[in-house]
Amino acid sequence: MTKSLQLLVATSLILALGCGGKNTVSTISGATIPITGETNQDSGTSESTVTGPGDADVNVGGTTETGKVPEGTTVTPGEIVAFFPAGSGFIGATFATDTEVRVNGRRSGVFLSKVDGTLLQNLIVPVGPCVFTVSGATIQGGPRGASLGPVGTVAIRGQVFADGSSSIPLKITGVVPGNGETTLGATITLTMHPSANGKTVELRVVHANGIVQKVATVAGGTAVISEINSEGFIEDASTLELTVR
Amino acid sequence: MMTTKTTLLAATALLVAGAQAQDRVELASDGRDRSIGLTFGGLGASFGGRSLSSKYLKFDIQPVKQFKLWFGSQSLDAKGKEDPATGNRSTFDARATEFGMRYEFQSRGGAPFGVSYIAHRSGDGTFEQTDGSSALYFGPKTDTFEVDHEGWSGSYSRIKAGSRSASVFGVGYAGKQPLKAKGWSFLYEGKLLFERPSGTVVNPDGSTRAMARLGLEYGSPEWGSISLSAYVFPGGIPYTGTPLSGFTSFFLYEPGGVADDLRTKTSATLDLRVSLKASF
Repeated sequence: MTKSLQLLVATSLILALGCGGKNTVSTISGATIPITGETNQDSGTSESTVTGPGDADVNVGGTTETGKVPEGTTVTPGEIVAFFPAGSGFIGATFATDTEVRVNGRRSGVFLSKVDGTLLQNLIVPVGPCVFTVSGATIQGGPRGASLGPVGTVAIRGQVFADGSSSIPLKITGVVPGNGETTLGATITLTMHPSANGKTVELRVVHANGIVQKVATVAGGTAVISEINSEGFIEDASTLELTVR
Repeated sequence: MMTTKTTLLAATALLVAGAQAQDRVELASDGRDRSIGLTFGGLGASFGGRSLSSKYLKFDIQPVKQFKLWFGSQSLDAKGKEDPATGNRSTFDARATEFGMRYEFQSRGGAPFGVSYIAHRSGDGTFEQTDGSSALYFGPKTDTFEVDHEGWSGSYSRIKAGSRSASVFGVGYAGKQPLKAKGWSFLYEGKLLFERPSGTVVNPDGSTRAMARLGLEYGSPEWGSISLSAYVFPGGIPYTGTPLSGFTSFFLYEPGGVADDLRTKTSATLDLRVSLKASF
């Protein structure tokens, strides 16, 4: 290798050095997807003894309502329970077909509407830990057809307290990142029962490139999970878990 | 983009290096055909309130004159800026392994022609935010094929990181200039990397990154060497082709936080390396 050639190439390297490091962004930011859910939950008192799967009568605010008791769960007369009426929507997702929600890993007999993800039947959950699980949820409505999902598993974990209130969010609003979208600013706000104040909310998303975990504390009946995508873009989410502990 | 001052500094260094270029010494040159070696060292940097440190250990064996194998492991610990409210710093930790082999084709009376394959396998990277949030990134895989001749090298790397990937083409020159003092040498290296990522949001059409290395080495063919080098990354750190290849491949995920600006602003690291060898 001659010195002149070495100098020539070295000079080329230097010129290129001065041009390195430029960045361009291909996707317009803000391709987020609105998320809206409201559970309309209430507390009630059981009027019948049922070991699920089955229907139990519950007194909710002086009115007798009939709801589904999840498989393997027993309620007895006078027992305080949480009552999730038909029409409740947890995260406003859509499904390929009406999809059954599982409670604590067991069948509930309650289905979510494929159209808007709302409960098609009333659901009764006794005091104690509760985990709602559903498969194949898609959150739609972003610009340019952006969506999140279908997500293999969506889980909402919480607790039904002794008074029949729960730490399951009363309302979820905000925007979530679509698959692979530039979504800085994606934030969801959870409205919680005052009994959940001081508890920690954790959003955990397992996706094609890893796992994102965001935490927030419930204060004044509200928890805000912000900048969901600040550590990387969520792509092809397989699990989405919201845990209140 | 790098500053004019930094560009001129790198330019001057490379011009001097280019003018004084000598053949790169890669294999044992003490007249014996076989050797084993152990290299260990650390690498560190601090910039903009962030810090980065890495430790590595590498074993190599040269069973015949033309062939060399090596296996190494490396860890990385990066810390972000201090949170003014809590005093805590976000962190990123990962481990990576490296496996490589190189074969030299001898030419009659000429310099050898080397062919190498290098595999980097990164473990999952963990990013912890100061507010308790975290992210885990699946470890990328990088495979690099390289040819070299008389100090010049050309490389092709394929990186697979989750749903994302990149092809990186590299061209560079590395050399070693003996100094007057016995056993001392001046090390230099310049490399350009043309990156073609797939699935990324930033730089979807590719970009160019560069690396320059200047260093001092003391050693002998009998026992090995000790070296101190400065690596400069004008305009940002490349995805691969650097001593941090097991970790820089995580940039394909376009993380924020602790990694902010590392892809876009000039940075530099110091590398201290001790290589011990025994020939037989």
